[in-house]
Amino acid sequence: MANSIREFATSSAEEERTFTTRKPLQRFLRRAGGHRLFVVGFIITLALIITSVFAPFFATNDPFEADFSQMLASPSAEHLFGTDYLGRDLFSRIIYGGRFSLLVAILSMALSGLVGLLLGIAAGFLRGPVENGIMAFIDLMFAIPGLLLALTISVLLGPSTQNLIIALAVIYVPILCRVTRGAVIAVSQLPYIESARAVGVSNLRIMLRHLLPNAAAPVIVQITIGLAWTILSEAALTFLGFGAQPPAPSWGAILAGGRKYLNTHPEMSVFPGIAIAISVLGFNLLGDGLRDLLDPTLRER
Amino acid sequence: MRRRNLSIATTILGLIMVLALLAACAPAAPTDSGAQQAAADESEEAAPADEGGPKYGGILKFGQAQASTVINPWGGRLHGATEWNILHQIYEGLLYWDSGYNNNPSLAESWEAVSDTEYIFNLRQGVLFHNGEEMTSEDVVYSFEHAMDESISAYAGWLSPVASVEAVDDYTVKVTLKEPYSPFLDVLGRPAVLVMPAGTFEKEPFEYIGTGPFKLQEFEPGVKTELVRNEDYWEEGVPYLDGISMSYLLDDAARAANLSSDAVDFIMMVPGASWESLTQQEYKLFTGDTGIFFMFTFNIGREPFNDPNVLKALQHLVDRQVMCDVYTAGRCNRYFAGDPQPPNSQYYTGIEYFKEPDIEKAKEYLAQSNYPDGFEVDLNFYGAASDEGQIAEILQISAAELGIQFNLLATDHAVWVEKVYKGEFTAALQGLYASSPDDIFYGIMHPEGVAHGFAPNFDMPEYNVLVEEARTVTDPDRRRELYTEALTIGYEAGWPLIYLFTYDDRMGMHPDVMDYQVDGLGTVRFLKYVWLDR
Amino acid sequence: MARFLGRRLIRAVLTVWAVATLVFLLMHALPGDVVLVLLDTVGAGSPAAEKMRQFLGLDRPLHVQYFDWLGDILRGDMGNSLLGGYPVWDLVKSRIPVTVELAALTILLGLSIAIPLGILAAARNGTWVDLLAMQFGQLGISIPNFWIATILILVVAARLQWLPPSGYKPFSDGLGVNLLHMVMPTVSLALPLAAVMTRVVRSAVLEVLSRDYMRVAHAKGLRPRQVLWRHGLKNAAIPIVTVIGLELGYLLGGTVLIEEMFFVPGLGQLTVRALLNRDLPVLQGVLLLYSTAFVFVNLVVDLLYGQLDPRIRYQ
Repeated sequence: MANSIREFATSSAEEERTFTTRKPLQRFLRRAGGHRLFVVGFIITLALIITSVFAPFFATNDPFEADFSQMLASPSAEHLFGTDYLGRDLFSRIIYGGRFSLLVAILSMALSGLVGLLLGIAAGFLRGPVENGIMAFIDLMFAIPGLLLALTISVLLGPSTQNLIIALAVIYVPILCRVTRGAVIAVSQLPYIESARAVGVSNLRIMLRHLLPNAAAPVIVQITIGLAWTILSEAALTFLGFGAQPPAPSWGAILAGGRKYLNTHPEMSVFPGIAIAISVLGFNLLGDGLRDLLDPTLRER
Repeated sequence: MRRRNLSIATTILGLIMVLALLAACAPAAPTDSGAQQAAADESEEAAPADEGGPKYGGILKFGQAQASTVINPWGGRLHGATEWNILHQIYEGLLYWDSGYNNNPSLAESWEAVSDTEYIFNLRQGVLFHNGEEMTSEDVVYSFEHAMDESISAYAGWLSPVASVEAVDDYTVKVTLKEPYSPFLDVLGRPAVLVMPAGTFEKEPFEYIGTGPFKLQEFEPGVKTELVRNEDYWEEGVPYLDGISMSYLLDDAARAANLSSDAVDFIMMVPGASWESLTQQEYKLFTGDTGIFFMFTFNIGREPFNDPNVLKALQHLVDRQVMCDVYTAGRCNRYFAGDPQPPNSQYYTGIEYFKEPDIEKAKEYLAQSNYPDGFEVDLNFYGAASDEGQIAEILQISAAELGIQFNLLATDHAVWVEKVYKGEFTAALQGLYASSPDDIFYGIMHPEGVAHGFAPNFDMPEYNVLVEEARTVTDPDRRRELYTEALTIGYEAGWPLIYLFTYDDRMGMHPDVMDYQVDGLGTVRFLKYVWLDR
Repeated sequence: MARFLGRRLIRAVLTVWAVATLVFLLMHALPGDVVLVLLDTVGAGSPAAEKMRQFLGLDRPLHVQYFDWLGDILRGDMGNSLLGGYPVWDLVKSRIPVTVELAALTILLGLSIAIPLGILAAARNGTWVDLLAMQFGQLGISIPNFWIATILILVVAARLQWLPPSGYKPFSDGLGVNLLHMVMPTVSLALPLAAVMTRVVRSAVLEVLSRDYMRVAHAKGLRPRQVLWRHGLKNAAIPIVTVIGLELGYLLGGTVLIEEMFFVPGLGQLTVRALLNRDLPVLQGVLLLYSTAFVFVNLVVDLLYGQLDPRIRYQ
């Protein structure tokens, strides 16, 4: 995502000079502050997190409170985006929808990250039959279209928020596993791992102390982009009715409920879509920025 | 670096501007296009119209609202009219219902009740099946026998009082009942017995052969249904159409848009939200009672609904009007106050306890129950992201005020038929087709009824006696009294169903689709009289 | 090369087999009973239900059903739909052209936006063209395709009435009518794809432009345009082809939603219906087809590497 290769090279060179004088975190922050892409992604994401955590403060109304006399009201001072088919304040629902999306995204990525990381490290470090087994499984998962797999899992477990998180986590495991494995393989061929082995450090210790921290960068990047992906997929599954169930204020659910009123009240279809697009954009920018910052060798292809 | 900054800012700005533009321009447009459309229609009308009778020819492009994956002449789905819209064109019964719920001659030219338990049907002569063979009493007897076979037919329960069916001669059929059964002719007019050639069921592969005005040409499950004109139809002069081409347009918005852009001529279930703009554009819209209605049903064999006070609390809690308004997008036809029958029916009980929700009463009843602080329970609704879900959501919201938490479970079709049809649920939102008092009070509520799965574990001897008697009585006033008494004691004891509102027959069609007649069942029965003014 | 091909082929076949097994097990674990779906109103314990179960062979032990099904698949028989009894292959066959057309149009439209835009962005690196392209690249992947579809239906079909709102017309009704119905589904799917591909094309071209041999070409006195077209594009093709292979998964998944929304009778729609009705043979057949397509397209992509980049040698 670098604007140009040359530009990137200069900023890296600059980095080298200050290498010894600064602590790692400061170094990172300094570099990050200069990376506008990252900064904008970070601001959007931070805004999303703040509005989610302090949703009650930002919301103008109770997102769950229905007012049957105010069904499908047009945007006004009282209801910034109007109301939905049950007279609930659309703006507040979208704010709370961000909280919901973020929660689902974080939980499913945490779950997916845990499994993906373990499988990836096992495959990348132990190699041999373990790796072959894991990678065969990953290939298999890749071969089934993700959305269909998610639909099937949702039908299998029954639609609910919890099962939605599981379905999304399962689908993202192969991607995280593959990235982790690649990073682990790259790191474990470095001389210092070889020497640790030679000195007789245990496998587990090598994995935890040396591999994990050094292989973390691409995984963190991938998880950030995964958060964007999860927000999109959550909305899609819920839109189809296979995700979160009422009264969860999911953006996908608001969109689905608004379909019926597309002609007369397009607000319900337009605003949640914008909310999704901005959040996803934020995480994508953040992910791309992190990629540049954490691991210059992993520039976008 | 500065440029990149600009890039991000413009990205976001661009996004918002494009969207704002879309949103802003969108609401303005419909009046425009509506006016244009109306103007265009007017100018067409101003041109000298062809005088004279109906025109022959043309294919009617028909947009169904639900997808049919299978058409089963013995089990038209209770949920929706999609299959009936097809079956009515292919098959016919001995009688038919018109929009006023009256029985009219169809394949039987006339009939006679010899006694309370004996009926004679004189068949129309010279009626040909789609395979060219003539229909005789042998075919009618065969069709009866299969419709009465519980192992294949969903209608067997309706016909359970039938003792025997005999062919007196080629064109006369005698039906003997076990006991007087007042709804019998209504059941035939529905029609519960579709007449098909003897031996149909045993034939492999199954062929859809009836006597109807259209023949089935192609059925691709869930994709399309093609029907062609039956040249040998018994009724002179009809059908007018060369054929009917049915497609499935499940999405409300898309279905309405298909009609207003003339991609189809006729749609089922006009979405309430599109009603006004379609009217402005002079599309013909029909609405009416269908005998299909929505209700919440609670399993009184399970906690907490084995407690009558809980049921009473919920009856008073539910805002039926709001549910109806939301479901129909503000075009509610009729919501119930206690009796789901139409008020103009001769059997209407007049029970109207729940004209308005009464939260205070609901709270009182709940306080008297074993669950004064509320409870948590699952509620199944049909489909996913469906309009039914929105009704369930309203219950969820109002119940929360009493501390009752309903967990809504979107239930797909396969699970629905396995669990909910069988009565394996705690609470459910159901759409049901029950157009006669016998269906409503016996079929669902009596332990022997065909649809007792909708009211699992409801078995009240005092109630049962009353509705059993109503089945054998022919005097309408007496029947109404019996139903009134039955429903009254039912509500006193704790009624497990909350009747919500009718599910309307809302058909929309192009201005040049002529002579459409509504039937009383929420189905499209009379396409044989429809013609295209083109 | 032959050995490499052989190994990859065996792995591909094994993957497809594993997918088949997983799908089979997953499908049989789904709640709901197709027999009851079929009989609709008749209860589970009724003689008809049992008769139907026997007739469909669903009363046999799971492993017998599995091996029978696998054997049939190997013989090229995907079985019959449980609903309606149509051969699965006939159903699938009638849907393939629709989905393939949709996917092909999407890739075509996606690339015809992405390639010129990506190249232009790389060639004019840092100018407003580049900014525009990058902006498009970020936006496109952030907007949900089903939302694009919703907005298209709202604006283009319902308001402006320029295009039919949904449905599908086969080629036999005329190419024009067919394409008219395909415009909105294609655009909904192609915008995110074009966004991804623009970024891929741009960075691939940028990467190539920075290579030494490009500098040499410049130094030789070739005009910039010649350098770009003659040397740049061919070398930039590798990542582009790879990403298209990977995006196929997105496309097949995406068609499910978009076909559902526009009522395009393609494979995606067939799959969702089959899933909801528990029509297991159809579901297994389609998923098997999907995974086979995915695995082999990616195999072909791998092989294309060799064609595009002579330095990649397969051992």
